[in-house]
Amino acid sequence: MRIQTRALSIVMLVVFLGIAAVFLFPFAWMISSSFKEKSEIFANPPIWIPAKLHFENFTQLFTEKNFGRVILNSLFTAITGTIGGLFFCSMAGFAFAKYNFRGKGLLFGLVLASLMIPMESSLVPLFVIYRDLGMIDQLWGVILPRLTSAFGIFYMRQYCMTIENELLEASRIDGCSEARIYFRIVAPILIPAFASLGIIFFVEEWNNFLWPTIILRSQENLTLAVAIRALQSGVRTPYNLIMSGSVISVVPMLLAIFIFQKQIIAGLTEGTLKG
Amino acid sequence: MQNLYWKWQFKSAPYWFIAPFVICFIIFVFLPFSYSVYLSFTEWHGQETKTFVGLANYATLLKSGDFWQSIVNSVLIFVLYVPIMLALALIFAACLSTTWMKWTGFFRTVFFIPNITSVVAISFVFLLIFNADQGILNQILMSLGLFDEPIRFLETPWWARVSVAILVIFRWTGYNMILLLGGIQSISKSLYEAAKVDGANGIQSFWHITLPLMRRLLAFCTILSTLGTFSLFTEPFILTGGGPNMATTTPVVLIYNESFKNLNMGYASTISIFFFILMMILSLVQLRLFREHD
Amino acid sequence: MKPKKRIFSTLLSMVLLVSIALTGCSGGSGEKKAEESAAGGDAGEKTKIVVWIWEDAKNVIDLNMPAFKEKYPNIDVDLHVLAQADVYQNFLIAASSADKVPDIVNLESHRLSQMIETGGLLDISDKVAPYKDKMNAYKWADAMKDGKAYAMPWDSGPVVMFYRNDLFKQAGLPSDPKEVAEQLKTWDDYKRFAKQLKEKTGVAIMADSKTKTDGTIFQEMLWQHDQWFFGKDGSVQVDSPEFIKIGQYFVDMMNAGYVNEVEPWSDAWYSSFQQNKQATIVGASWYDGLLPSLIDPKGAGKWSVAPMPKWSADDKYSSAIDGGSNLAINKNSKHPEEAWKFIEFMLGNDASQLKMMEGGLFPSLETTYQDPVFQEKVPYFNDQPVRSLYVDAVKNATPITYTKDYPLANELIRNAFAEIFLDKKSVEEVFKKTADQLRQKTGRK
Repeated sequence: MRIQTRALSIVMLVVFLGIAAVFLFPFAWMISSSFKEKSEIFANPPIWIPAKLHFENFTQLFTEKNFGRVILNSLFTAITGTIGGLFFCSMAGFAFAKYNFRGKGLLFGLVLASLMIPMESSLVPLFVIYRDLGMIDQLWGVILPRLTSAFGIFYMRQYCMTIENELLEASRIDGCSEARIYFRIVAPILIPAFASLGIIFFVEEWNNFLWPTIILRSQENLTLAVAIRALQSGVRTPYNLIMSGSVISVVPMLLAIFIFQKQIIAGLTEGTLKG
Repeated sequence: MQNLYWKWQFKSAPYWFIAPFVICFIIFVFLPFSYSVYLSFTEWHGQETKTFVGLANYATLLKSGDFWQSIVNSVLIFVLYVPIMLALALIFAACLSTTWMKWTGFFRTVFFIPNITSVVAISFVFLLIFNADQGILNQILMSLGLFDEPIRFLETPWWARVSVAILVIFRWTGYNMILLLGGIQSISKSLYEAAKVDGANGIQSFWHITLPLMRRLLAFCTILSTLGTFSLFTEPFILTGGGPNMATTTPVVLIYNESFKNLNMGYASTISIFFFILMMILSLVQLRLFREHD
Repeated sequence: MKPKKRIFSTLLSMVLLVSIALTGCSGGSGEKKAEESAAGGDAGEKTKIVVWIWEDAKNVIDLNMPAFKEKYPNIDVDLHVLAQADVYQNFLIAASSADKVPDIVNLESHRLSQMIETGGLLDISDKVAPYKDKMNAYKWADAMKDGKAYAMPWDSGPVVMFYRNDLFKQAGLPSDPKEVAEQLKTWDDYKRFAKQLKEKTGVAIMADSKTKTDGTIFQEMLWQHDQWFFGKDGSVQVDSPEFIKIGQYFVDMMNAGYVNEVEPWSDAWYSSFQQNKQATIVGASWYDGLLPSLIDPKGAGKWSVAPMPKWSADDKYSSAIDGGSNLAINKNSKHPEEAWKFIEFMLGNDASQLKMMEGGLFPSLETTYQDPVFQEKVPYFNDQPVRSLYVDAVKNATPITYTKDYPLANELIRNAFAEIFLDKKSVEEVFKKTADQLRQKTGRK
């Protein structure tokens, strides 16, 4: 029996290593291609390690395509979007979880409604509103519609439910204002929730494509995903540059997940199941 | 006076806390949506004047095949990937939660990576891999002797849908695996031990214990995938541009093309309304299922 | 689990803090930049104009930039390169949001009337008036709406046939341009050549894709034969007998295996030329610039040029047009005068237009055609004076207007071909269906 289990364990390990190789294959190909010359990308037989490593695929992005700025833009949208989203969602979630007030049912209905009206169904009017507010080609414009996600409010509400009422009451008796309660009592309790939801927000914002590609236009305002797509210009698409741009956008995420794998996965699972 | 203020700040606090949401809701959800309804009754190509055309756009939509085609495409892509993806996710989850499996953390991470990395980047890699004449996938398949002719992955309707499906499987199997893993781990160990005592082997206990208990979670995953498939955008947008012959045009690709490529903003709004109704029905189903699940 | 989580969250908050600091900087520098450029504008000394343009067009503009800077030292030109499709899409958005940027936009003739329709272009009728008679007449048709002109013609795309003289010779076909012109007059001759080429050498006569055709060849055949998606009365012609006949010809060529199946402009397409997979390009004069630079840099001496095949020998017009672009001014530009100075300098004078012809863009400005450079022998084309063929072609091209519905019609016809090949349907059946779609979507008859 034990020998059987051990054999099974080895066989399955090999099988899973094979499957893992398939899952890693596109990333390997991406990295390999990012060092190639244009003509090597589609070579037959395929080239894994190019004759010469073309680091200029990367430097060219920074010198000609302003990728330094582009990366900062991506960081800016992802970080402000995440922090803002966490702040607003937690406040609303807290209010829904711990207060009784007139119109609560109606307001919560609005949260449900916003869950059901996907952004994709109002692209044109959103665009018109942006135009009228002068938010076209503004990084803020990318972040704003995502600040109060219904999903985030649900998630935070769920988490806030676990806070004990006595704790809040005690602070009120001590003379804490409601704002103070939120900042001093609630927010620290919510830190694990901030971490989990924050990861989700950050990943979503970093990879966000549809809306940024509609409103961002000048090269110095693009985010990474949009900037990579914008490389598809010219008469012949420079796939080597597209691949090096992709590496730039993917590698930080790869490093992050290998370092924080447990936390990230736990966060995402909790996130989806709780929300 | 002091007392009055105190009362006021307590009473009004929840409204202040919810105010940002309400403001955002009005600006980014309510107004655009209402405006969308209005636009769906107009003919508008982005210039200054809009012409009110009543139900003409709705008539066009019902008559023209475009919208239905996009629904059919999504359903086909859905059928192509969901069974495979969920089966894989379940098998992975089951294996990774056994005691004899090694390196579970590593595998979990590897399967999950595609989900958090940039869709745009991954779609471009697949664009290279699927290239019919010189893509590496065809080169591998042909050198293995599996095919004599290169498969026209992104150039024929069925293969294009398969390509999109493969990309979606690649991106979402790990995510579903994580969800299912959570479910499996919440199943009480004593159930398995009891089965073992009764002489059940691993496969039998998977079949008779794990699967039935996971049914609701699997349904939840299916609904999530349904919502996801209808709003699929970036993958087909980059891989195929919605082609060939509209075979991979999903509703969102169609909305995007009609609004920002062809500038038929009125008609695009009409499509949006239909898309909204579809998504609303699906979300209601999801909420329902989820309530029960919780 | 618990302590780990705490470590993680402290780490996360540290990361967040650092990144706030970082982005704080980036935001700041952004604002500073904006201020600087605003200050520059106010000073009135230097004006900056932004031009949205695609890569190969920018490359030829660059040839004239030193001269332009010398003449207008106070005008700074920012040539902003975008993919062609992005130029249109971004400009549509810019126009509908009344953006001040770009000042100038590069537009191909076939998208021009669609762009005019959106109302985003400046009426430049007075400015272009002196050039009315100097440009190829056909260019104005798409640049005008209700008697007002919205764009200045740049280059024309008269269609000729580029062919590989070495491959023709190998197949026992005539290879001298004069002989080829005599023996290859019609599309029937073209098919005959294709057959011999295929049988003798195995080389295809051209490259195109069944499911991802860009529709170029087919549309050139239509154009030359004085047929178009829309008739002179504006009605949809896609199901007319002539239209179906020409579609059938393309389908027959494909099915006979005379065409190398590869998606135009894909990487495979580029490399297929170096692999000697096809012997001709029936295409516009701008291939003159692309062949030696991007398509077949090592092909010097192997390429020659002959007039394009005609549908029937007694056709009134012998040539077609494909593309050619224009420059237009954004209606909301803050510097329309400077923008016009740029356009006039680049497109309105012989010297700059001739300079840009070196880069392969054939001028729409007819006053340039007298220049001896048109008779000059071109080394890449085996010392053939190819430019004179472009002049002949442009003079004998059928006058046709793309119209604002062209982009849609083009998309539908490409899908139609995909359907014909994939579902093995008859050309007539699919074109009839396409015609109905087109009528329904454009409201035409």
